[in-house]
This record gives sequence, C-alpha cells and structure tokens, in this order.
Amino acid sequence: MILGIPDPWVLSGYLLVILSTLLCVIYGIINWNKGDDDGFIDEE
Amino acid sequence: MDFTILAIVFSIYFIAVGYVGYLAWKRTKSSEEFMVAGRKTNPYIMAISYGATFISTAAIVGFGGVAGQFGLSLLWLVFLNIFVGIFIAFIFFGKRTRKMGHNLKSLTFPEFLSQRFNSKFIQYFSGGIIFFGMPIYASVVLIGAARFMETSLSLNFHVALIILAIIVSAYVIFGGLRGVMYTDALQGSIMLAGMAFLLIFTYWILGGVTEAHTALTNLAPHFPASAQALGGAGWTTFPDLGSPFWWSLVSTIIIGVGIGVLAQPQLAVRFMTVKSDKELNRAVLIGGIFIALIPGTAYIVGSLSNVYFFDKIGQISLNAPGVLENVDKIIPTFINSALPEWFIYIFLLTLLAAAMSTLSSQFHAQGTSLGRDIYETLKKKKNAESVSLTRVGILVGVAFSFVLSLILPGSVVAQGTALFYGICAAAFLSVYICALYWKRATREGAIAGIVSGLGVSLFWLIFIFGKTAKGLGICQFLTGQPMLIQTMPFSSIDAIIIAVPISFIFTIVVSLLTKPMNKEDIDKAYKGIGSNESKTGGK
Repeated sequence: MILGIPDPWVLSGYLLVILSTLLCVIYGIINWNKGDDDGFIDEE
Repeated sequence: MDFTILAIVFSIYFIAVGYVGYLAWKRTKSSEEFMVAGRKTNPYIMAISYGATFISTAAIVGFGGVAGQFGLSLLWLVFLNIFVGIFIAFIFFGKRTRKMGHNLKSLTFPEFLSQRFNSKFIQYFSGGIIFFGMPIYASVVLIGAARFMETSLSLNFHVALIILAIIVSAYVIFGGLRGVMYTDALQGSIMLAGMAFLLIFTYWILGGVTEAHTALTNLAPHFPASAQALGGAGWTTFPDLGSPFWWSLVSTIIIGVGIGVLAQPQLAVRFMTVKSDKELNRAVLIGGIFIALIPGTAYIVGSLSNVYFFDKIGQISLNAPGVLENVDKIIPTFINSALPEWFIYIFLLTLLAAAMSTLSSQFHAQGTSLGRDIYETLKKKKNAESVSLTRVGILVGVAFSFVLSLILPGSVVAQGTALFYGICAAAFLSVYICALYWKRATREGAIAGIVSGLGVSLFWLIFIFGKTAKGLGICQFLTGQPMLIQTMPFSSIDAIIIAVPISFIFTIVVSLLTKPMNKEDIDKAYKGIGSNESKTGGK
C-alpha cells in the first residue's frame, strides 16, 4: 500500500495532483523569460 | 475565541483591502482600465487573482465537507483543476485569447465572442446568460461565507450577508477590474499562507502523511450509511462503477467543475489583462501551486477530519457534535476543535478572503454584462458611459445575488457552483474553442452553438438531472413527476455531458452549412496567431 491509500484510482488522483503541479512549475521555469518579444501590446 | 483580537485582525485586513482598492481606483480612469485592468498586469497578480476567483469559500467549506463525507476520490477534481483549469487554460486558451482580445479591442468575454463572430446578438445574449446565471453562483458564495461567519462569530446569518455584500461591492464599483485583481492578490496570498499551514498542521497532528491515510483507510467500516447507499465504500476507495455516487462524482464534479472552468467569463477575461505571453508562462507556475494548495488542502483535510474526530470522540465527522449531518459544517467544526486558537482567526480571514475574491469578480462580470454587453449593445452607444453604466450594473447584480441568497435552500453550496459552471460550459465552451482555433466557424454557427448549449443544458437541469430538477421543482409543477426519466443513470448525469457535445455539433454543422466569414475579419482577429505568428507582431 503506497502512502496509506489502497485503491489505485484514489492513489492516482493523489499523485496526479502532485505531478500536475510539478508540470506547471517546470513549464513556468523553462519559459520564464520566453514570449516577451511578440510585441503585441504596444501603446495605442 | 477573543472577539477583540478578531476585531483587530479584521480591521487590519479591511484597512489593507481598502488601501489596495484605493490604489486601484486612483489608477482607473478609462473603460479599458475599468474592464481589463489596462492590459499590463503583473503575472503574480494575474495568477493569484485567477486562482482566488476560481476557488471560493464554497470550494473550501462546501467541497471540503463533501470530501469529509465521501473521501479522497475528490482529489481527481483538484488534478483537473490544475491540469485543465491552469495548464491547458493558460497555454492553449490564454495566449490566443490575449492576442485576439487585443486585436479586436474587446473588453469583456461576450464582447470578445461578439467581435470575433461579428454579431451584436452574441454580445447581449451572452451578457444575458452571465447576468442572469451568475447570481446563482454568487449567492452560493455569499451563503458559504456567511455560514462560516455564523458558526465562528455567532453572528446573525443575514447580518453577515449584508456586511459582505456592501464591502465587496464598494471596491468593485470604484476600482473596476484593477480593484478586483489587486485585492484578489492580497486575499489570495492570505489564502495560500492559511491553507499551507492547515495542510502541514493536519498531517502533523495525525502523525504524518502515510500514517494519516492509513488511519483513514482503517476507518472504512464506519463509512457513513448515507454515502454507502449511494455506492461509496470508504474514504480512500473510489465509488462503485456505475453507482449514483460514481456518476455524480465523475459527471457533476469532475467534468462539470474541472472542464467547465475553461468557459468561465470572469476567468477568461483575465487573459486579456496581461501584456505578453511571458506573463502567462510565469502565471502557469504560480497558478498551479495555488490550485494544488487551496482546494487540495480542503479535500485532504476534510477527509482526514474523520480520523481526528474518531480518535477524540469515537465519531466520524458527519456525526461529530456541531456538524449534525450538515456537510457544510465539517471544515469549520474541525478548525474550531483541532487547530490552535490563533489559527481560527487566520482561517476566518482565509475564508473571508476566498469569498471576497470570488464575489468581486462575479459582481464585476455581472456589472460589465449588464452595462457594456446588454445595455450599450442594445442602445448602440459604445464607450459613451461604459464605466458609469457598469457601476450601475454591478449594483443591480449585487442586489439580485443578495435576494437569491436569502431564498435559496440551505444545502445548495456544493451544487450551485457546478450548476453555473455547467451552464457556462454548455453555452460557451464549443464556441470559445472554435473562436480561437477554427477560422471556418461562422456567425450563424456560433449563435446556434450558444443557443443550443443553453437550451439543452437548461432543459436537462430542469427536467432530467435529479438534484437540480427536484430542487427547482419546475418539472414537478408541470408534469406531476420530479423528473421526466426516473431510470438510472439519466438522473445522475450532469447537463454538461449532454449539452456540450450537442452545442459542438450545432456550431460545426451550422458553420459548414453557412457562408464563411469575411477573410479580412478573420485576418484581423488572427493577426500574430498561428501561421502568421511573427516576432514583430504588429501594430
């Protein structure tokens, strides 16, 4: 039994919360300075 | 609890909110500033504001209580909230919405759809859906916050409602979306700190992560009979496949709230408040952590409260004194019994912040719908008095929500949110996706998608879906039966599962049957997007 949760569906829900958070964190770090130069919002 | 300390904590909080609201008001002059915060928002403010708007007190107290009854299977909802509500939403919806919204100079979500499809009807019809639908959700948020103040402060429920409505509408009316987002960032930061402490403390008093979960697993024989009858088997077990609880969990909560979030007008408008994709990239990181910590903590702590109460008094949460089978009271009762006294003040502030941050955006969205999308569009007088009309719209919206929160039945906290998310997803999701990704979609297709999605979802909610059909009582009144189809699983399937695909079919088929839109209009909307994407973008 991993993390005290016997049911694989519930355990995967718990782990997916952690993994999806890591996905957001890693995406944010990798792209921290990207997307700045598309010049879209300029003074009107 | 010492009311003097609470009064001091609250006073400091209100002064801080007032000051932040004042800063926003000073910087808000034009309608672009009032409605999309001037399009230059900092990524931290944008992400925290998005998260704090998304997660209300209802999500903490209501769903946290539901987790106390049904268990950790609800964490699937948190996963979808992060993956769909943040990751997919920001990257695949946010970036295009920002560019297109700027190309079209849209100030509200209905205006965005209306200008993309060149249809005034879309603007006032969508504005109408938001203006009349939002109060259901807003009143549920008001009720959630007022209930907590009732429990903790022994305050009269109606007094709590009035205080909340007045304070929030004040800074929304003066500060516009900038006021909403600045105060959201402050409130969201309080929520982050409060919920992080609650999670760590709960695991700590129960002896650690694995120990706490194991104890919860071992409590399965005491799983409430009410939850067992619906197909649940324990707090760490997924419900039986095909049981009413399984359908309810999978369809209403996971799909309704998890996927429905993509078409939330008050969230989508935030994509138009930042300057470039860089802010959205950074916001993904902040938003992901925010959503994991806030609802994640609520569901874990709600479930684990059973272990605490069973250790202390030999009862599960639902039967604990003070809860008495009212799931909305599980989280507050746990906080009052298990946490140190000083935390009760912080937590009360956290819930107040959660409610106010959601309410402010709801009121703002209602106001812009009535002022900008409905009144100005029908009067054909754009920009003349947008800000003052929107302010009047906010006042009307607040009054509408307030009245609803007085008459809605008591145990609607968890359902009301899913209901509004469902209606929005049904009406807007297919058209929003086509607006962003399908150039062949036409005005007629978009109108067919919105109208069919709304029609089917309302029909399903009033006549088929058990919980809402029984609650509303319209079906009973018209046909003499609580719902049209009594057999399972129809009465447990949320409207979104039926209405969204139908709306997609209407959007696509009608678009293909009608004349493609003018190429110049499409090029204008898609400037700098997809194959035209260029580093210089364009003025």
